[in-house]
Amino acid sequence: MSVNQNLQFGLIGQIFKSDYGWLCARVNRAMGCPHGAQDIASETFLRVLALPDPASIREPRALLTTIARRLMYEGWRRQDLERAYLETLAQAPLATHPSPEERLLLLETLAEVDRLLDGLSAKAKAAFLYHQLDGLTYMQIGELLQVSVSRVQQYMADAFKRCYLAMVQP
Amino acid sequence: MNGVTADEVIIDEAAQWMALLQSGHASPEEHQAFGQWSNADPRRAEIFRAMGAGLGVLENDKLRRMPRESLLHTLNAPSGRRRFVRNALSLVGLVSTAGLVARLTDVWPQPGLLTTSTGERLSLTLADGSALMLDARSKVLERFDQERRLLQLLDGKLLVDVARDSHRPFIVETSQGQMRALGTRFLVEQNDGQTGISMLHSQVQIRTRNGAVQVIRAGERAVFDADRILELRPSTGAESAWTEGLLEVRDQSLGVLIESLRNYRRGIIRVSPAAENLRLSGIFPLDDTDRALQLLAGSLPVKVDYHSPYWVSIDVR
Repeated sequence: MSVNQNLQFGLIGQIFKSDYGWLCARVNRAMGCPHGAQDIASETFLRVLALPDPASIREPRALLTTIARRLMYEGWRRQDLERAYLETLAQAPLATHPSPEERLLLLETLAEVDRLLDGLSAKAKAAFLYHQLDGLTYMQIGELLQVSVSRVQQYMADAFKRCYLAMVQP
Repeated sequence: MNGVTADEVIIDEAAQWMALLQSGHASPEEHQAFGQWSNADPRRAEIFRAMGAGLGVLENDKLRRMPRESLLHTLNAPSGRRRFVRNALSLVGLVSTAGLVARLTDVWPQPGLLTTSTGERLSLTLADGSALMLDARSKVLERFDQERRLLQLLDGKLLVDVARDSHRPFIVETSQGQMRALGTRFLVEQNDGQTGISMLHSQVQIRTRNGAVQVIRAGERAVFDADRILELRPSTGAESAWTEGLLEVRDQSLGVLIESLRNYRRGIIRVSPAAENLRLSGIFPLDDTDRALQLLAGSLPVKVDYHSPYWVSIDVR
């Protein structure tokens, strides 16, 4: 282990000692579930550990709050996605159902795509995916979605912006 | 701070260029214009490159093989968080304990938080029967309990028609202070460290954050900051135009008008410094901003250039 890494773990160790209990209590108050709160708090510290420059953390509690809040949202959202995905599976022939492992991997990917496109309208998401995954032209997309070509172009711009923002603010 | 703002503009512009170039229908002139745009600032080129590069997750085979209908259905799953907010609004009794934890600037997920986005106005009935209307790009937190009915206006504008409840006062709170009513109808807006309130019916008591008190009556308008009442005068009626989907200005600068229009228009509006200070009066439709831009081009010596439907620049003629 390098000196630098030692230093990093030392710093995070300090934060962990002084703020882990505080964070658990806070998340628990928001979620109303002590075990879930401990999971979230632990995962939060794992994310802090993965940060490129922990030495630059000036307000640990604000950072912990932000990360924990995001994890809560992600957890809820993942349940929503899984529920919706299972709904679509229920309508497909049994033979085409993926195995549990495949399903898990797919859900990971879906959660990532969902995060990139979060906040876009259903039509904007559809337009972007038809273009990126299927290579449809703006005109074909416009016909499918019953909107003008210039509207499709704006959906694309909205989506590019949203993806970019989601990428730079992980 | 400046760097952040500049990046925001570049990201908007880069996304517009990306969408245009990927359409496959960009003209040679547009390609040239893009070259000029991107060469003028290395940060532009950098953001544009990153925007195109980072979509690796879409290469995933499993995702590509997934039937599109199933994929879209999943991604459009309603968000449990939003459901949570809706439920919280109907179960106000349960929300009150959360008030002990939450503060105005708190960042935790908050039940009772209502927001509107660009071009969106929201009308709803609160748990006590009061009618609330939110302007575009506004944010309000509803915190009712046994003792009082509190609405925290965090951003934007609201109109409230307060249902009578002689036991619980109705309070609208901004960063600058509180406005307290029993039963009445009034408008509140918050921006730039000031709060404006216009009374439509009955009366309200203002208490600024630092304790200045003022009662205002129907037909009056007051503006205050945390310390004191800055302005008290008869209301012109223009303040409530947004509730009808209109924007009413009387001898205001074009810059101020465009700022209001931005809440209703997606995309970029650029106003040149020379055009910004021109003054005008008039009534403009908020829900049809193309028409609004056309109207102001008719009443001022300006030209409105559409770089694309979503990228407009305004300059003096």
